[in-house]
Amino acid sequence: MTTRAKLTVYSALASALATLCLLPLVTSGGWYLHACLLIALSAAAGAGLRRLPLPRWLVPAGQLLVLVYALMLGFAGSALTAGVLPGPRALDAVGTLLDGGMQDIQEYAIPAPATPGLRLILVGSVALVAVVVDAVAVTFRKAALAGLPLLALYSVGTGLADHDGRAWLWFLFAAFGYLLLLLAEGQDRLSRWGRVFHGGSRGESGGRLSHNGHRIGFLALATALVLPLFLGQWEFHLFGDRAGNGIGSGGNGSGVTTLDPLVTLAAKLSRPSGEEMLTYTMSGDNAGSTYLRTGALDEFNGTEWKLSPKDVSGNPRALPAPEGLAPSVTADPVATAFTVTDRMDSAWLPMPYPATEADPPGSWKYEGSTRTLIGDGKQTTRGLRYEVTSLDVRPTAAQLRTAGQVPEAIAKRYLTLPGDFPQAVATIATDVTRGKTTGYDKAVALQTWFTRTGGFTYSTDVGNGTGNDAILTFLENKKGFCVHYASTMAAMARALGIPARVALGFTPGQGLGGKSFKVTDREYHAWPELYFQGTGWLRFEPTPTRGSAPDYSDPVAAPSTAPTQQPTTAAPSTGAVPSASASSSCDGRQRQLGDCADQDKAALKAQGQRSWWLSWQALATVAGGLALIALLTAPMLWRAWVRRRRLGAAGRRRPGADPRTELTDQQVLAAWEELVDSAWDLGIPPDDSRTPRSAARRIAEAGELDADATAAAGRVALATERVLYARSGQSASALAPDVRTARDGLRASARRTGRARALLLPPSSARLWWRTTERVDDARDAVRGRLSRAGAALTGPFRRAWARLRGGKGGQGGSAGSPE
Amino acid sequence: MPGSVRVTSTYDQDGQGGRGGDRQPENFQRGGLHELGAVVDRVRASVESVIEGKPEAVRIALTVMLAEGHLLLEDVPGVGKTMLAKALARSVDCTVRRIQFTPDLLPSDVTGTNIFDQHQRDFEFRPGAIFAQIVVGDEINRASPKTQSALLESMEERQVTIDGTSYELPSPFMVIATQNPVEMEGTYPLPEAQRDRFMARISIGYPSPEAEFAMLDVHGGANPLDDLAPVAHAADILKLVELVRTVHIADPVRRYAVDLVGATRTSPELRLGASPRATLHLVRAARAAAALDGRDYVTPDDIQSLAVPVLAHRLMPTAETQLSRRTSEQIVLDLVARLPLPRPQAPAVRRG
Repeated sequence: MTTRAKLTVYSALASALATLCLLPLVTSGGWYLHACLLIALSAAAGAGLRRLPLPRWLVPAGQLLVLVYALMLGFAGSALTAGVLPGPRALDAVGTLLDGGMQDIQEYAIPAPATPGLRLILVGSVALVAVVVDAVAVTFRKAALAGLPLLALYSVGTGLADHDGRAWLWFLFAAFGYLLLLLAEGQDRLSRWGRVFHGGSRGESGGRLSHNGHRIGFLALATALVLPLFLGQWEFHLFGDRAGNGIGSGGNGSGVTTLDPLVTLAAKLSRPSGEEMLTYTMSGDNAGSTYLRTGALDEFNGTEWKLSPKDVSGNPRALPAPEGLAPSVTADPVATAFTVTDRMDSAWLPMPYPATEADPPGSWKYEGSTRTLIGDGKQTTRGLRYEVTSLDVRPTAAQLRTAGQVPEAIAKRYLTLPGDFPQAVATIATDVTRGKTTGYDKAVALQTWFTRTGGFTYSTDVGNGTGNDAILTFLENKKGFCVHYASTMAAMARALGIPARVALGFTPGQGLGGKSFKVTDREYHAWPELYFQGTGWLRFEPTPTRGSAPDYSDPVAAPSTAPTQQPTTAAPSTGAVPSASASSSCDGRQRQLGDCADQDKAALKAQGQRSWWLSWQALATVAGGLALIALLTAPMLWRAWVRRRRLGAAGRRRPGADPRTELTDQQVLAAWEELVDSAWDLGIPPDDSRTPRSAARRIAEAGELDADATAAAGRVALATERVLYARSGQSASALAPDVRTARDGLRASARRTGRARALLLPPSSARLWWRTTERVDDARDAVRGRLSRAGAALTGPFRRAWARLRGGKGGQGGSAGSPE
Repeated sequence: MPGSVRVTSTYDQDGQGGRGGDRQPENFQRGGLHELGAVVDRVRASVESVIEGKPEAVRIALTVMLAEGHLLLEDVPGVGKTMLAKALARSVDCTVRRIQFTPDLLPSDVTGTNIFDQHQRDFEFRPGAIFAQIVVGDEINRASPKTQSALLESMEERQVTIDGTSYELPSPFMVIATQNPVEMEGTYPLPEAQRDRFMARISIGYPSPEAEFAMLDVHGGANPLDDLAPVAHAADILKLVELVRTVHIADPVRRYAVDLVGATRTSPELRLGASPRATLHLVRAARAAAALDGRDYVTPDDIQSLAVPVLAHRLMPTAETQLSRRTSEQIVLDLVARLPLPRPQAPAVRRG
């Protein structure tokens, strides 16, 4: 087998091995054989085409044609004209299959059944990758680059499938295939130089080769290990946010998020990147504790909270009056200006509740029952600027306690619980609210129970879910995040006869000074909204350590009569700019009660760790930068230092000494080295086989020196020659001026780039590298020698004993053993 | 047959030039070199009046003479090999003999033989053509290897042994042989042992058009050799030889010579490298070259410039090398260009 044929076979093998990682995507593995067949076919086609005198780019084109025909034959065989000839009918058939496959991809979860469409897509794409690998590795002989298509194949497979811990197996296969390919290419490349001898190589050259190989390997390994440390902090930006499209981006077809915004929310919360989503400026006193609401889930069917079929209409600029809000309740209008970043791509408009006026640019539809604005078609919030007027509703406890009867329509819609709603939950709700008579008191009791007395903890490590089972599990383990608290409290409220729904949106952002706030994806939140006749929908905050409890939900602090009392949610020191960021939020009251000390500590600790980590990374980055700068400027500095030292030695006179002071041999040689290195810096590399005389001649010729400089270089060479070869005792006068003259001559005839290089990155600084590596090698040899001596000293007695033993045996056997 | 030996001329009278070298050897270093320069310049001028436009060949010929070596001139016929040899011989005031090597030349014709003297009733030694201070061997490769071998002892040991009796050869003793390249008709290639005894081989090469034109003018008239008068005495040459022996050669240069000769032995292109005698010759020639250059120390430049003339004729390229038409000269030049100079050793330098 020629090496080229080997290369073909190995590239096909690499493709087939990398394809293995797609196996878990589909329930049955029959398609894999088909794919292998096609890979083999395209490889054979490539091998055949390469034998013909064709331009190289025609080979992959031919392979593609063969591939398309084979796909038609395999998937639309019946549609071929006369059973063999492809026609428009066959193309149509394949196209239909493809469409079906695309739909299947959207419909089925992984692992999907092997429908013909999926098979076509899998087999076709694998064969396509195989053609690309074959073209890159064999036709264009760049086997290393063939790793990229293989990597694409592998990452699709591992990215989509849930490998339950067998990912390493697929990696082994894929990597093995790639390494085989590289090996084959190495052989192929070597064989093009001629026959490969497997005899021993000359020790020295082999040693040097392996030496360089070690160095390259070490450098690559070190880079691979060190670089990720610095890349770590950009990880999320590099690979994008997996749950990047915001809550419920219903308009643009990303189906999953529309269907279950809670799932998206959970993903956001468990993996926050801290990216800025939007900023806003809000008037009013409660700006720091006003939640931004994007939507609400109003239907609970026992498996999840979801949106009931929407009742959308065009966007009236002035929204209808809020449901159930009586004029007697204090409700000050608040104006808010939003600026949404490009990172937030949601179909639902963030607004404070209840908004009375909103007119965002673009086409928006108003959903009346949940009071949300939803993008029409492909309209999203991306990059949007808009203003919203909303009401800051501040009911008193008394008003809430005396709330009237809930209207029939609301009760029907927001009190519905599924038939299989667990009785245990209702019982717990009743227990918690025992002794409370009004709906308001019951709601407050529930909130208090969740946040303080119930022993709940915040954790994003809990599985997502809002159904009956999820609620039961949550109440049992008392661990969860906002989605669990919101949905459970809403369900319990319904059980207690309070109309409730789950609202989604953001907690107040971090203050930017003044009334401006910044909202990142850490602020994603869900909370229950409860309905009280006379005040309408009010938010509650059952999630510990997140958000802030509204004033009216605390019967002690809630103003019973005076509605204008200032809220106390703001942190005492900052007043207007409360620190309400999700990571350290703890509302003022909790703070006062000392309940969130632990949470605070935990949060602080987490922050401390992160800041420590950040500072460590920053330090490392700065240190790395400094090291890089040092590394880059080292040649220049070293060269300057060396020049000063050499010329200083060769030219400095002792004060008051004879101007024609004799130079020592070292000084003469230093001057000579300086001349040689100066020439090297300006593009005349040194030649070890040249004598001083001929080196000076060469410098003069190659550097186009004028007569003065040539004579100067000649004098330096002559002095050097005398030092090296003549009888000792000859004197030399100061050489530094001569070296400088020659150097100036060299610089004058060099080009500007050459001069710049001589200054910034002098080639002669390679000597620094040589010297360093030489020292390292010496040190290593010394250590090795010492080790081997130590080893010999340790094992010596045993070996001697062994030799004696063997000698004794030999003697007994009467054989003529060696005298040793 | 003694008839084949043509002893052309002998200069044993005191030449008119060639003196001025009578100073004492105490002030060797400066004055000696100075004097050497004067003598050599005279000889060089004398030779170059005959061989025009070939200063390099003349310089090497003089170098070999001062280094007590033998010179092999190899070139195609008609470029002035014999002219150079004779010019050099005539410029120095000493005994000169000329041997025309022919296929029927016998060893005894070269070395001499014992002849029975009827009157004395005893064998009497009749010295051959080799008994002279400068022996010009013309077309040495036309003689049979047997006859060529007759030169072996005389060239290396400077003596001739006939019937068990050794006869010393005069001093200075120098063989200047000419030969045609071996590919030419009717030639016997010199045995390796014989080639090794020549210190240097040079070829003269065709003259430049200008030199050739000038030559027509000069040679058109009388034979230029006729006008040639000796400009140096044999004793001067001996003194200069002594002087050359005192030229300093530093350890790095010696090591370089050893390295260079050693490199010919390990070169994959060569079947046979140069011998230790080659190293000796190289260093001796380098000393002479340094002295010719007016220096009292040898530099690697001397070694490098002499590497081709001294080493090339001793090397035997492999068949592959010959097939790829690479000559020994090219190989030696390659070695010179590749071989790094020995780095100055610290102890040798540390004296300031």
